[in-house]
Amino acid sequence: MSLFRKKEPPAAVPEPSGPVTSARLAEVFDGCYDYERRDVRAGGCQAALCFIDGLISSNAVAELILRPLTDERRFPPALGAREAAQRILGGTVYAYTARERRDLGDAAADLLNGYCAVVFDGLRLAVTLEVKSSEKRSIDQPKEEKVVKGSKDAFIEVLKSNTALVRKKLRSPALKIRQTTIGRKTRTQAVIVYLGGFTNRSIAAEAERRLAAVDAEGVLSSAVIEENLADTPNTPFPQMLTTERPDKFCTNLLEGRVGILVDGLPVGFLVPGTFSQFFKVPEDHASHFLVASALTILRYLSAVLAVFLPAFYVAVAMYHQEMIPAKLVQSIIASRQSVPFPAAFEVLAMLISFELLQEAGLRLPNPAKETVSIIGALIVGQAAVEAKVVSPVVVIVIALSAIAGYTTPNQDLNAAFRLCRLILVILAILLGLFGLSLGCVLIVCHLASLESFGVPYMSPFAGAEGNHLLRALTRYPMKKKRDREPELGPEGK
Amino acid sequence: MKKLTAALLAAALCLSLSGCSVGGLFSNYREIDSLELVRTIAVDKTGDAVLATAGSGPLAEGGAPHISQAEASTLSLALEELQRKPQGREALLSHTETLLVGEDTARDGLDFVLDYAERSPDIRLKTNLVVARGSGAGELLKKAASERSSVAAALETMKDSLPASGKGCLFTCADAACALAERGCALLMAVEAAPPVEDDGAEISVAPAGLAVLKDGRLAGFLTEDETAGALLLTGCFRGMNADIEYGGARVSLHLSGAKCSLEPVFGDGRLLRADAALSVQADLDALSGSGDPNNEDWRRGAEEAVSELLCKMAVAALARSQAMDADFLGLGETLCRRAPLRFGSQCGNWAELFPRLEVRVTAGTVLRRTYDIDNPLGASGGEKEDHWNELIS
Repeated sequence: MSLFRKKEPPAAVPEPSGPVTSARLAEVFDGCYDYERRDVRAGGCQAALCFIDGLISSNAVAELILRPLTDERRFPPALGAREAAQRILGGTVYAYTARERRDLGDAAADLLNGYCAVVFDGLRLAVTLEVKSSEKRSIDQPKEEKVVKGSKDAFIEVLKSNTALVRKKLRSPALKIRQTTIGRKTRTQAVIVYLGGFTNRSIAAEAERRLAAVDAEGVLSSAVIEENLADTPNTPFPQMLTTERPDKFCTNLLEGRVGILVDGLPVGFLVPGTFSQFFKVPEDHASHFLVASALTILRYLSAVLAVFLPAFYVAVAMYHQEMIPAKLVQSIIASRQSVPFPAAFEVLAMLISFELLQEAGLRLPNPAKETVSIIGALIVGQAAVEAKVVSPVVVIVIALSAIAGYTTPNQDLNAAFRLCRLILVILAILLGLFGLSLGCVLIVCHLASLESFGVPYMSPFAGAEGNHLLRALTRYPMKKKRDREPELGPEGK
Repeated sequence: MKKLTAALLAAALCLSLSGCSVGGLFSNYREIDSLELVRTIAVDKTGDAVLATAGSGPLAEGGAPHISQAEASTLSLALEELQRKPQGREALLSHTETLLVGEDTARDGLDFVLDYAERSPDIRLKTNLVVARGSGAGELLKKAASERSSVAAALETMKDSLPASGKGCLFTCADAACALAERGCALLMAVEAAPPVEDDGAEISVAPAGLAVLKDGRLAGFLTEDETAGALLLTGCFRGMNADIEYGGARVSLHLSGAKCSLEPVFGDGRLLRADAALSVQADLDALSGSGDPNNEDWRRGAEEAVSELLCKMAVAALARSQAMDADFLGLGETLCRRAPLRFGSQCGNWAELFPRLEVRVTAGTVLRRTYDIDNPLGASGGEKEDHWNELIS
C-alpha cells in the first residue's frame, strides 16, 4: 500500500552562519566558477574584495570601489583595519548602499543580490557595497494584455524597476512597499505593495505573513506565489489576479487590493482575487462606460458559452433531441449521416484536438505558431469535415466554445473554464442534461465556497446587494464611480 | 493527491462494471442520427383498428419524405409499431407538427386522438389537429409527398399564410380539447386534395378547405368560405383577407385587416334579450377599376358601407350556421358571460336551450384607407390642397 504511505519531508539544508572571513566565504561558494576574490591592501591591512561575476558591474567595481580603496590619500597605510572599514561605511568609496555584515549568511546573501564585499579577516567583518549590474530588459509594451488606449509600459524582471513603475503612477507617501526574501535557494526578493491607511490592514498583514511563510526551494515561476498564497490551492480557479500592466496594478491598489511584486517575475500579483475581477480589463476604463458595460456583460455570456455549449450539445444530441427545434434537428441528423463515431466520442476527440493545437501553438515560435494554426484549424479541420470524420455541427460547437473562451481576459480563468468544460462534457455524456445540471451545481457550490484572504470569491454576486451586482456586471460612469470596492473593507478615506 | 487519483481510478473502473447500456447510464440514450424526424402523423380508422401513417417532411439531405404505416388496435400501439419501421431508424415523435385525421375517422369521433395527444409524453399539446376533407388522412399524406413537397411543408406554409387570407386558421390539440371541454364543440382546420402544382412531383397538392366543426367529439360538418371568414371575425382569429366588392359601377379590390369584434349582452325583463356584435375593420384600397372616385367623400362612405355589409353577411352566416347546428363553436356564451358574469349567471338560465333562439344583431364599421391617387398624393381633392402641394414643392 505504498500509494497511501505518507511522504517524508526532505531534510533541510543548513544555511551558512557564523563570523565572516574570506576563507569561509570561499567555502560557501565552493564550486561556483563565477565567484571572484581579489586581495587588496586598504589602510595598510590586508582585505579581500569578493563578488559574483555577472551580478555586478565590473566597471563600477573597478572605478568606484577598487580605485578609491587603493588610494593611499583616502586609506593611508597607518590607518588600520577598523578605521578602514569605518571609512568605507562612511562613504569614502562610491557605493549608494553600504552594509556592515558580521554574519556569513548575510554577507553571502548580499553577494547574491549584486553586492561586492570587502572582507577584513582580522576583524571577521565584511562591508558589502551595492554595485549591481545595470543589465536588464528595457521596459516594453505588454505582451499579453494589450490595449488600444492606455499606457504602454509593462513590468520587467527587475524588482526595483517594477516598484519604480508603480511609484511613478502612485506618487503618494501612502504607498507602502514592504520587502521580504523568499525561496530557500533562490533568496528571491519580493515586496508587498499597498496604500497605507486605505487598504484593509488585515489583508495586507495576511499577505505579508503568507509571503514570508512561502516554503519553497526557489521562486522561479508565478505558480510558487499563487499556490503558496492561495486559500484553496486545490481549485483550478485563480484566486490571485496577475497582471503585467502597472496601470492595472495601480487601479487595483486604488480599489483596496494588496499587490505583490517578485524579483525575476515580470508580473504583479493582486490579492484578494474575486471572480468578477477576472472579467475586467484596463480597456474598460479607456472606453465609454456604455461600451465597457456591454463588453463586460458579453464576456460573462461568452464564459457561459465557453463552459456549457459543448456539454449542452452532447446532452441534447444524445438524450434530449426533443429540445432542439425541428429544422435544426433535421440539419444535425443530415450532417451526421455518414459520421462513423458517436456524438460523445466526436466531441471529446474535438476538445482534445483543440487542446493539442493550443498547446502546440503556445510552445512554438510565432511563425511556426501561425503555420500550426493554419494546418490544424483550417486544413485538418476542413479535411476532417469533408472526409465525414467529424460533423460540421460539432466543429462549429467546439470552435464557438473556444472563441468564446478567448474573450475571458484572464488566461488562468480560461484554463479553469476549459477544465470545467471537459468535466461537464463527460457528465453530459453519462447523464445528459441531468449530468450537466449536476456539474453546474457543483461548480457553483465550489465557487461559492471559495474565499480569498477572507473575501468571498463570488462577491459581489454572493452576499452583496443589487447595487453591487450591477457594479460587477457594468462599469459606472467616471463621475459616479467609486474607486474602492466595499467588499474589500478598505479603511480611511 | 494519491488518494484522489485512486478514488478516480476506482470510479472509472466502476463505470465499466455498471452493466448499463453502451454509451450512457440513461435508458433514453440514443444517437441523434439514428432517429427519423416525424413531422406529420395521419390517423385513419379501419374497422376496429387504427392505421397510423408517419411522414418525415422534406429531408435536409434531399429526397422524398419517408412515409411509414402501421396498423394496430389503438393509436398508441400503432405508433409503437411505427417506431421500428422507418428504414430501421427510431421515429422521433416529439417534433410532430400535425395530427391529420381522415374525414370518416373524424365523423366517428376524435376522442381517441385527443386522448393520446394529451397523455403521450412524445406528442406536444401544441401539435396542430387537422381534418382531411373528402379523403383518408394516410392517403393524402402519401399522395402529397414528393422530393419537393409534403403535407408538413404545405401546412407550414399555411400556418403563416392562412390567418392573412381569411380562409382558416390552424387549431392545436390543446385548443380543440379545451373547446370541447368548455362548450362541447370546437373548430378545426380542414384541408383537402387539390390538383398538383407543376414541377412538384407529387400526385396531389394540399389546399385549405375551410373550418371543420366538431360537436361532442365528432365531426359535425364543414363551414363554407363566408362562414369560415365570419367565424374567424367573431372568434378574433381574423388577421386579414382580400375582398372584391362591386360598388357604384366600380370593382374595388380591398385588403381587410385589423379586425376587432365586441360582443355585448342586452338584458331586459330579467332575461337576456339579445346580443349585439359590433365589428370593425380597416380596408386598404388595393385596386380600383371602373368609375369610382376615391377622393370623393360620398364615394368613400358608400364603399365603407359596402364593406361593412359584406362583413355583416359573413358574420351572420357563421352565427346562423352555429345556431342551426346547435353548436356554440364561436364561444358566444363564454364571451357574453365575461361581459356581465353576474347577470349572465342569474338571467340566462340554461344557455344550451337559449343559444339556438338567441337574437344576435351584427353591426360593422369600416375605415377605408389608401384612398390617395398619384395625381393628389396628399389624399384630398380641391384646389386648396393643390396649392398647398405646389407650395411644398416650391
